[in-house]
Amino acid sequence: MKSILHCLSAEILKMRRTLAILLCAIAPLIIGAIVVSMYLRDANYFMNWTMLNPWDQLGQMCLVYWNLLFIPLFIPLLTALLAQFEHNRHNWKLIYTLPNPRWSTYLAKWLVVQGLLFGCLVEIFVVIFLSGKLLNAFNSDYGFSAAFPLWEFCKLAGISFLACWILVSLHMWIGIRFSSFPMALGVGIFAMVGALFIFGQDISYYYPWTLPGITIVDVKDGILHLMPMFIGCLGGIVLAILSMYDLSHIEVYQ
Amino acid sequence: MDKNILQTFSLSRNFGELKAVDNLDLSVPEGSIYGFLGPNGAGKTTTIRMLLGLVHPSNGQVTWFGQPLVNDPIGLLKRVGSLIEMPSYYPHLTGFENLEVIRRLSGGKKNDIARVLHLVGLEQDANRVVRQYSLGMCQRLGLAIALLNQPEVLVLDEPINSLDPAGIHEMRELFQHLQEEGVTLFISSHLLSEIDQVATMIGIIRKGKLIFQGTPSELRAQYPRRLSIGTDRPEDVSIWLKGQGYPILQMNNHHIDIPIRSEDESAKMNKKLSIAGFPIFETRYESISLEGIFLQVTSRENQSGE
Ligand SMILES: Nc1ncnc2c1ncn2[C@@H]1O[C@H](COP(=O)(O)OP(=O)(O)OP(=O)(O)O)[C@@H](O)[C@H]1O
Ligand SMILES: [Mg+2]
Repeated sequence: MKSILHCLSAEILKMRRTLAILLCAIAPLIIGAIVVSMYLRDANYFMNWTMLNPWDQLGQMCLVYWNLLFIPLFIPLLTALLAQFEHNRHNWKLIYTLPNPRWSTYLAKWLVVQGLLFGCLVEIFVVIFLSGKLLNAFNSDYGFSAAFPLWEFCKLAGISFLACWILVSLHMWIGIRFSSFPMALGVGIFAMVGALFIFGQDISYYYPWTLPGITIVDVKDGILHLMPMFIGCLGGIVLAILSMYDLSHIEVYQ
Repeated sequence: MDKNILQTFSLSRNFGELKAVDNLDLSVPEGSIYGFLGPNGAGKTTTIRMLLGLVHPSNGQVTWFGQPLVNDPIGLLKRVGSLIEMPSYYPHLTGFENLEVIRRLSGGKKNDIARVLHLVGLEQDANRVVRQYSLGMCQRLGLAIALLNQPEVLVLDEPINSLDPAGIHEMRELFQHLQEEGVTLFISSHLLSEIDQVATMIGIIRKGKLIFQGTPSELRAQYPRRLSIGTDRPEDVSIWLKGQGYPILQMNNHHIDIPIRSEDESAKMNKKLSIAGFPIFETRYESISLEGIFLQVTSRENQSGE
């Protein structure tokens, strides 16, 4: 337990002056900008949309962008960046001789990535809220004077957050196991392309890169699909354990 | 000095057909500066990786402080600092932050950072981002990281590779200072001259095999001085010398070098050569530097080992 805390506090310090922090800060803002510009462009369409309340509409749009388009690329990028801290100057030979079990390094990085993703979700909430207020200031016909459905959004975001675990575990392992940054990112890009083909088919419930997206899209029909959340979360835990076992046994030449 | 802090027993590692490390029996006495020498590709780094549990031996075992490494790698390596090949660090952090990362990882004391910065002479640059460091400064940082948490043993793989002459001198002084404080140092190098002034024990490895282990004076004693004989008929003289049972250490245009044990033996050889009637224009009695011995040892093995 102590070694996890040691590794975690070290990982947090390593994040200073890094691209990863900047990416996490910017990504939700990009989503906000895209969605707001869509609202402004197709104002009539959105003003007359009556199937959902305006906040749900806005929130779901942001979360769909996040889970469907950002997450499958963002997780490979974040995990690879975190692993590159060590690959870059061949640091494994140093940190694996320090008095911590090897799996604690993996777990600490895993937790940092989860923390960053969580932070992004919180930021997305703020972005949704501010976007609504901004649009309301432009034109009150958008309907954003209604109450902000915080709890509904928390449920949605929580489900998609848990569904991401399998991706974090898998890409964290790839990032650490293979020293090449292009390769770690390449796997993510290929898998993402695959996700575009698979999405909507039954198999997408078992394809890690589509799981976060399904959790949001399926809610559109009014039902909360918990299945992808369980597969993503439990699969993530199993993969994390397998990764920690693997990394504890490999030889270190880096 | 009797207790061995680090020992290996028939330590071996194969990469396919290649025996990178072959039945190594190292004994590193407590408080020594152990020079672990060998030419490029001899197996030094592979050995050190096995000492630190990074690479699995094909055979044999490593003991630290009298206990097998496999029994408690974390507990035993906690007492060891290391620097393998190129130093490891985080270029986007400052020197101080780098040390702080390692301190957090190892759960050490905060004020230890100032101590190691002072020891390696990096205080001035501690708050600069390491990306801006020179090669030698990175090497010093690597050493500072190894020194963090006051290890009882330091394992350094080619630690003075990229230092300038003044830096090398400083490092030697640091090694001696650490030894005086009771730290045991295990230092690998492919250049004997880097450490022969400070080493109290020497192990020489070639093609994965340990071919010498002992004190520098034992090494010198094993390899006697040499007599350099200047003659216009080197072939005839060398045949005659071999007939007398002398190995030829070196032979070029007009000189033949043979090992000689004492001045007395040298005088006798002079006499024998003139009785034999060879045209000798000079004989020179020289002691060999440790460097020369090192070259001799490693190249001799080369001839017989192939
Ligand atoms: N991962 C590996 N796979 C295959 N062969 C390896 C591996 N690591 C080392 N070797 C081989 O083992 C031998 C010893 O290598 P090692 O790095 O231990 O030498 P060294 O004594 O440290 O050399 P140098 O002075 O150049 O650093 C070399 O022939 C090398 O090619
Ligand atoms: Mg080496």
